[in-house]
Amino acid sequence: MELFAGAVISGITVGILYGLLGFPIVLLYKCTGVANFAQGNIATFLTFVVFVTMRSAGLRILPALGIGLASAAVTGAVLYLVGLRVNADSADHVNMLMRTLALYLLLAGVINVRWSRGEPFAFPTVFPQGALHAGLINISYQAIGATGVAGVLAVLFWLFFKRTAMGVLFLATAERRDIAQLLGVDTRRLTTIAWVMAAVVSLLVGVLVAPTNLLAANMMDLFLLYSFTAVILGGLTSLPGVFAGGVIVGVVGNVVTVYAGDDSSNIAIFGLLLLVLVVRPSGLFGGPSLQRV
Amino acid sequence: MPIASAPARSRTLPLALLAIGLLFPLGGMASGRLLDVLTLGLIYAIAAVGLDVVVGYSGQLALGNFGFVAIGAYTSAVLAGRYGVSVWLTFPCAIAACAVVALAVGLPMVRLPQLGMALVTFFFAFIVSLLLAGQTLRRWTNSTDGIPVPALPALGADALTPYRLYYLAWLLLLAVVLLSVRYAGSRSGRMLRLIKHDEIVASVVGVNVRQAKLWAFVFSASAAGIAGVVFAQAIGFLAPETFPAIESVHLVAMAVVGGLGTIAGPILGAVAFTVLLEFSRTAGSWREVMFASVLLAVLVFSRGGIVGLLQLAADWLHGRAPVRALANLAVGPARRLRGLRRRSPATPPATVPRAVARPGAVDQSAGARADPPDHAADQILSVRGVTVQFGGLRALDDVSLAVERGSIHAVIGPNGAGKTTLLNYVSGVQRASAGTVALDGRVLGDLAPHQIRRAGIARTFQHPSLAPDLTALENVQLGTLGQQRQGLWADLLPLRSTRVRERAGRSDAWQALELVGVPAARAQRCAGDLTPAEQKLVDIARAIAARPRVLLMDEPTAGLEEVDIELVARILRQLNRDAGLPIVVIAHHVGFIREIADRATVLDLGRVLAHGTPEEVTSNTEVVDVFLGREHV
Repeated sequence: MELFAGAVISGITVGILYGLLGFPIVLLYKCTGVANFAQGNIATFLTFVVFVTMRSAGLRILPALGIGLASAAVTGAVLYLVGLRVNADSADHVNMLMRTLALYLLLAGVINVRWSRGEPFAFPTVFPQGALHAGLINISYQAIGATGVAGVLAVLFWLFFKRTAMGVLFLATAERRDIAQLLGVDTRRLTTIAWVMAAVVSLLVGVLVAPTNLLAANMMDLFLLYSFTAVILGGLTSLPGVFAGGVIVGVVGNVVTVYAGDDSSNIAIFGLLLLVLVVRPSGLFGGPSLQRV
Repeated sequence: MPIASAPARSRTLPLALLAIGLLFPLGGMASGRLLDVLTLGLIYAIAAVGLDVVVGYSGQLALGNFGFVAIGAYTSAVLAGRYGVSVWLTFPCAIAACAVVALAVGLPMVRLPQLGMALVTFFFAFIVSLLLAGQTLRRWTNSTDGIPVPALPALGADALTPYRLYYLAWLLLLAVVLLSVRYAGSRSGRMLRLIKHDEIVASVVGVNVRQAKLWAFVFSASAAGIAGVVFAQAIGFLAPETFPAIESVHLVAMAVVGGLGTIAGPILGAVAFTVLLEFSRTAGSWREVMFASVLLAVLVFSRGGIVGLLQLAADWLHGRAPVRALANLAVGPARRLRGLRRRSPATPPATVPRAVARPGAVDQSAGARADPPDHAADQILSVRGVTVQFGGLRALDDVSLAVERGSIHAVIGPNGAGKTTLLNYVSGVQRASAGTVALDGRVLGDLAPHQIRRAGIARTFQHPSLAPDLTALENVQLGTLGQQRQGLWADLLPLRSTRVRERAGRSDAWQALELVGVPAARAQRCAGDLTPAEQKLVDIARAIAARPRVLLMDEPTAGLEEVDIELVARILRQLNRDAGLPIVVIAHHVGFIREIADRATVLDLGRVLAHGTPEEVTSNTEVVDVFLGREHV
């Protein structure tokens, strides 16, 4: 029983991270209508930036993280401006999706050229070593810290979207981009900001994941798929839904791993994705999408 | 982009044959490693061409097709190596295995438009490589240790030489190309193009969108399965690291760089990239960066890929002449291949007998014509108590509508009144929290748009809704889907029934175009090149081509000049009077409504404000208030 409870609890903690990476995916999807397949590799790339900064400049994790955040902002803006913004209006859906996959390949290529020799690397954690013992269940401080950071970010985002003028502009753009544009919202500027935010969140996810998963070029490959499953479970356009979806994916994945092994866990999450599409393609939390004819 | 124009499209087969033709002598000239690499290029091309049907034509991203190459390869190697099946026999087995897996994965994913296929297939690619390397299938795949591939016995020789393998791959590529070109030019291909343009319009026109996508996906997976068997032969030993998940993305990238939706493009892209990547191994990981940069550059700056650039260059240099000349060289032998003609030279019928060209002349309505139209119970279409809620907004609130047999019924109201929502509900695009629709007394229940279309309710759209890269005629042919079964086999095989059906569909389409007055010369042009007024007429022709029992029209006059409004009014009257077709029409133009409508229903803020004759409702003070603003009175 404690095996099960432990699997559920660690499933929740990792699931919140799936949700945290899914969050910028939903944000960008709502703002631009494009699902960003490069999100995972953006996280890996930026985590490598932090890692290399620490190694070459001999910095500790926190100052290196500061440099990482700055490069995240630049990376997000550059990827969007160079990769997605040019000729976007005349591009069809396949074209835009493939652009994010081209960025996926590009980032993986850059990592492999420069940094991946000798991977996987141990990555330092910002949280204390050890674990919290509660009855028979152990939760590592790393997991608690990661969940805490994710929770704080979720609250910050909630405040941003509900309480600030720019947040409301974001919601308006996400709801109806064309109308927001007509009302004078500079949607391109907002989308650039959304990409910056997405890159920053990705970096944080990468830094939170790397200590447990070890830093490697393919660190986020499966993680990205889990996050996407969380996004679909959450209803594709629901910002709170993606966290709930992430927790479901995390718990299912962890419980199956404990009882049936890693292989089965991936198949189970894939099965979960297919099941949701069969039973409720609009997700557990998404309403039916409005289609315009 | 040049690939969208009709002349470019008719070059699909010649260009593809040209690309394949160029590859034929290469096998004789090359040897050693180059020959092996070229064979590999052909194998990738087989998978990439199949992929083009899904990605290039239906506009869905399939990111797991190298997974099917793996399934094909392992199916062949395991059946031949472990169970002693003849390697030749493993071809159909590999195709079947891929088709079955594609069905299982495809059925759920087509339920989510656009993102569904991309996400599920991407995940699928990773699942395949995890399973190959994992323990679950160890008994067959030998996990990371890999399995040897039994060599394919050549006919009349002991083993397949590299030359023979090259030409085997070449022949299989030719077969897949011929099938893909036929697919793209068939009714199924037309459906895919409309789906790419607008899924909702496609479903309303009568396309079973999910099924069409699923067949395209299964087709591409089967092609990948064929590629897999040859791939296994080419490399001789299968191990999981040969099938990384990301290779599926590379496969799409090859098709993109070559030029999507051209068949020839994916061939060129696959061969070019395979050769380049093989001979730049010394560059290490820089290859990946180069590959990704080229891909991104093509995606951002040149949608047509290599083929697009070639066409552009040819057009620019010589005003299209050389491409034609080359195309003509290749088209001779092609024409002789039976059943490959993409479009038989159908000419419009010189005269259309009116009696035949009565789209609405179905038996019931023909009988009803005898009755006077004021029979209140005699309703062809009846909508009861429809309520549609968008969040906090009631777009429709308990709306009912009764359309009398043989009448023109106008639905009018200011912007946001819920007119289009009502039409969307009737045509199955919009779900409602309450309400029923009955066609000729039969309640339709919860049907998908294409089923409603098949039941006999057709509609036109407010916005441009034709597939821009199909001709007007081909667009109208799509309208004749209504009464047909939607099978892929019938389209791919050279069956007599298929030819009969195509001919019948084409002649129905010509009649419909004639009826709305689109001249034959314009009907052969791409829909994207037509004027807005012509596009509206073609949209109407598409709706009436399958002889609906009711026609719904969303703002047929929107954005038209006064003369064109006159024209549309005349056509509607003609359809209604001559063919007895009941019409429900949304319009803003009060003059238009007074001129053509028998009855009118006024909607405001989701409620029925009034109904009656057009004169009655337009003189109703409440209605005038709504239309002109209260302060006006």
